[in-house]
Amino acid sequence: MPVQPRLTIRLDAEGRTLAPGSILRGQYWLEGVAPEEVKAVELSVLWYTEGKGEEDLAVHFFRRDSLAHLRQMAGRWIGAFATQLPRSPLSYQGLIVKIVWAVRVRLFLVGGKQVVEELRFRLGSVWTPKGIPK
Amino acid sequence: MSTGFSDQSNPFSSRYVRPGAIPFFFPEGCPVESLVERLRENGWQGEILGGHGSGKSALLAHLIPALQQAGCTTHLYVLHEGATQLPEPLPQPDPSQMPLVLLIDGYEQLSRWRRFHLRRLCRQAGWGLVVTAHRSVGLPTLIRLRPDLELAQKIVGWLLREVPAGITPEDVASAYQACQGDLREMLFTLYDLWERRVRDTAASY
Amino acid sequence: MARWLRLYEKKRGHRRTGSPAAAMFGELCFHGAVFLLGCVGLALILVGFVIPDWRQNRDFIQTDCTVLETAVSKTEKNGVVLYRPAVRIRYEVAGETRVTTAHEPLSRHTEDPKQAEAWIQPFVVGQKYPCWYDPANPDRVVLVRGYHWGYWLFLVVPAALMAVGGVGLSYGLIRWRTSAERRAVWTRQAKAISASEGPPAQADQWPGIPWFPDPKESPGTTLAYRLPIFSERGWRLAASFVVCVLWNGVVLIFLILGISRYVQGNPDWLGTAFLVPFVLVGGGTIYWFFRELVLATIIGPTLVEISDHPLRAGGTYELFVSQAGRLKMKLLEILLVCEEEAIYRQGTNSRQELVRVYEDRLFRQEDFTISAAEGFQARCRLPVPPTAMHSFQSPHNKVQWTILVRGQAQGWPPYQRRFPLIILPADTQLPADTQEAAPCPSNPA
Repeated sequence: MPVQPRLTIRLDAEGRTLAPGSILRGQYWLEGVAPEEVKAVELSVLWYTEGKGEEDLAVHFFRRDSLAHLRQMAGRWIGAFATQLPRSPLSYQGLIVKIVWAVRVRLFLVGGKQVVEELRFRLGSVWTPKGIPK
Repeated sequence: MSTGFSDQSNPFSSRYVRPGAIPFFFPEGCPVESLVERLRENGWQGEILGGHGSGKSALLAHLIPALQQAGCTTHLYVLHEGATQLPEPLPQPDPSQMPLVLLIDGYEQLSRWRRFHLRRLCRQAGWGLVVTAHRSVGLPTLIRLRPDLELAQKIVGWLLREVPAGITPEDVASAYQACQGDLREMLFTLYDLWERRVRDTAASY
Repeated sequence: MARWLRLYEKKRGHRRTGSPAAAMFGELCFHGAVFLLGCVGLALILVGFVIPDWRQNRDFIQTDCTVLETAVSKTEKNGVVLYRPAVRIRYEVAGETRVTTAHEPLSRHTEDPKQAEAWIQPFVVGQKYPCWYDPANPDRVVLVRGYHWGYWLFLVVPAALMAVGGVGLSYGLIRWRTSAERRAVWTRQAKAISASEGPPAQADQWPGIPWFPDPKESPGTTLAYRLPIFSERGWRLAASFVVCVLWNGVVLIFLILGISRYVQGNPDWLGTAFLVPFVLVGGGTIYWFFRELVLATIIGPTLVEISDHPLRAGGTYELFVSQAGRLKMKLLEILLVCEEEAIYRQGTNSRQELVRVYEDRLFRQEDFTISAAEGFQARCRLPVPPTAMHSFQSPHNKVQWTILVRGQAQGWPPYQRRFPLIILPADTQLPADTQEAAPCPSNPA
């Protein structure tokens, strides 16, 4: 069975909750893929909404790498990233509106196939509402 | 479950239940290939009929890749509530794109004159036309969707396939009945139920 | 083609042909033709009626004339017999004696011979009367002056054509010169970037937070900042006013024309009968407007002022509310609420859902009277929980904070007035490792 490409994302911070304005640092690594199969790797730090509404999305940080930009070690390709997080919007687990922050890595392979991996983190610390009975 | 951070999304969020996100569970003996074949026999003309929340938009979304695989070029137009015109221009006639099929979700919202004009245009250009509607609009009926509880259970089962148990088949049956067979409303009801249960569980810790 | 006449449409659609360029050209031609028609109509009305009317009253020079002869002449036009009063006069211009028939406006041409006779009756042969002649063309002279306002009203029609055609033409030209790619980039940018509509600096500073004005733009009289009101009732009042004015304005024009024909002794009963349902609808719009006016004003305006804006989570502020009117109040409440709003499109349905996630009663008073002279005033504290979610807005999702003033006056239905406000994240936002995320107090004491 052919080896499937695998993407893993790790954050440097202890835990996955960061303060607004702090620096988000991390790494991602790519395994199980031959260099000639890779067209590009895109990294995004973004927020998107979830819930009952249509999904809205905004990209805070974006970078497109080729394999040449990544470090190779023990059969893996490793990319590092760092960005200062904004003051808003904060992560929020509302009833019908949720705001999710994530680091998303998208691998573009020759032949048009894509592999996506996402790691959520929390920006700030706000309440989780229960809702008011009508 | 903690009150704070969680990787677990509500499986009934709009991003998971929007048309195209859930696989279309075709009725027995009616796979997508047979629908494509029926369209081909009818000159790529057809209407998908069904009530509110019956899955018309979802079927249309699944029909597109099947049509493309059959060699068609497709253009999808979605008319939201209140829209009476196509939201974007029609494509330019291009022999290299034939057969070209226009797919219109919410066809009934076009005025009679625009519908007449569109059909005439498609006839002249040799384009196919596949539409969704609640009642027949005069095109060959491709399929009439009549969702039932079994289908509702299948859809919810698929949405919960990678999620810890939280919604029971009895919950689904109750929501389905309350929404009178409108699958879309049923999914929103289950969204609220999921949220309520997650919060109740968290509060008890 | 008829897109610009259909007020409720929001999206642009397609034209008859499959070619966008040809369709765009056709659209430009149509709007250009409408605009040109308006220009031609305007020019004709101005030159033929309005300017001569204006000149008669402003530029014509007065002199005396002697009436030589009066008569009613008969003409036939399109099978209709018209009677035209004619007064032949003699007058002098710069020492030169002139004899001519006084010029009369077309409105003097009437189907009723008695009306024509009545007009010439005041003029007795051999008597002297004042007259006014055109200095540019002394043979043109009138015996009666005055503005014919009907001519001016006719300007509305070509003006409307010019407006419709002109706007359509400009809009079409703008679109013509903008590539589809550029428009798509704008759309993508508008979707991807925060929905904040304010100046770029604010959107960069607080992404995802709705724009808020400088507090100096809306200073309060008691506290620093006055909150703007958001009221559905206001929109209904405005809508009823616009509909009432537009509808009754048009009906009035036709009513005046009908009445003037009646006064002239030439009533148009068919036209009058046709006008009746429109008059009835006009009456209905007047009733609607006054009903909305009463409902919106009987309670009197509510003012809300706050000690600072925007607010911060964790902060405590002072609130001042004043309620005008002359009312016996059963209840008045002031609440701080937070609501989530989500817009979703599933299939062809567009739905909006609003859920209240926080409510804190800041003030409540029962069974009291508001006097017209003094009104009612209240001050209270406004604490914002430290872990409150800040205001948020994106194209389809919102977290909005509002001050709600709810009242119930005796004999009137309950009313509610909303004053949106902006809450920013707390000054210090520490990770949950060091600070537990407090549960949301849905109903704090």
